[in-house]
Amino acid sequence: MTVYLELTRAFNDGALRAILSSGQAVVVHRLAIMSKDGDWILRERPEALEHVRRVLAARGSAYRFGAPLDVRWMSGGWSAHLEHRDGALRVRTDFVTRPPRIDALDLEALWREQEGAPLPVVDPRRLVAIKQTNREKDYAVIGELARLLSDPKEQLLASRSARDIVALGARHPRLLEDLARERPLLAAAARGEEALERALDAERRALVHANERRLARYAAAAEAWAAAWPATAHAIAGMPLEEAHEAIVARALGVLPFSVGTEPA
Amino acid sequence: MRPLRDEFLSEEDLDLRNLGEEELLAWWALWLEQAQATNDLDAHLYAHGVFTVEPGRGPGPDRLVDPAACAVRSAARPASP
Repeated sequence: MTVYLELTRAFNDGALRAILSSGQAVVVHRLAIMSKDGDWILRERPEALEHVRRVLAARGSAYRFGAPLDVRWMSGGWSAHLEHRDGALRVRTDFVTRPPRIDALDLEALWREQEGAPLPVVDPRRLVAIKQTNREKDYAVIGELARLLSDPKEQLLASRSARDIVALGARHPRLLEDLARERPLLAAAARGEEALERALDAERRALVHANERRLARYAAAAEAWAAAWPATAHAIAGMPLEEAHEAIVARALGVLPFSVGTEPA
Repeated sequence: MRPLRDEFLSEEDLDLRNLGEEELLAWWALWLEQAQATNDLDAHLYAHGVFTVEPGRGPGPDRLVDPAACAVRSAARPASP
């Protein structure tokens, strides 16, 4: 078993608290192995975050620059980042409780769906949303994730293949028309594969830029925290994780805002 | 003739679906082990979340930069969610 599966089990010991996400989830769905770091969606509850910190403390984990693994910051969409060694492996553990591009209702549904799962893992449809980043390589993964979806509606909303969309549209013309309101590029299917390819490229660029703007808002909000980090990192060096956590929380209060503004309309 | 299909990932990537459970775990573990070779290159970088680079560091090993410039540039750097 890989370290990321072991950690997922340990995080969920006794209760569902963590859902394996992003690159390692893609492996569980048997697409590419492309990431050496672990990424989880955590329950936005103090008990869940405390448990995860305890699991990581037992492995000698330390904070990297990021938000404290504390509900006040995590509920604002921040991410927390820790790291430890496991034999020859550098194990990076990255956490959010509010994954981007998944709304509150859908997130709640994900938690319900994963209750009792032997290995809680983000499903392909939601991974498509999570992977809509500013990295080109993530769109290749989305292309294959879309092919794992069994529902034609979900496929039409996620596909990155003009050929697949045209073929699906031919089988489900009414659905294609209806979904064009939700995903405007689907309207280009009527003009053929080439028009659809151009629309897919434009959509990808728009998604890339939207994520860049999102990250820019967090970067701006974290400027003071970034300036304070070298001294903070020095102060917590060698501390047990829970002690380091308390120190980071104390230093982040009033420096790193709990929430970040939304994008202007 | 096979109809043309848009390709996103390599045959090798997609071959994971043909592996048995034990084979997948072994290949995954081996891949993670081999991927450690690039640890120095991404020591200060982030692959997930809303942070992209450690303060005071630029892309690449031990490249020190002005932290303020780094905070601005980080918005345009590649990053996962």
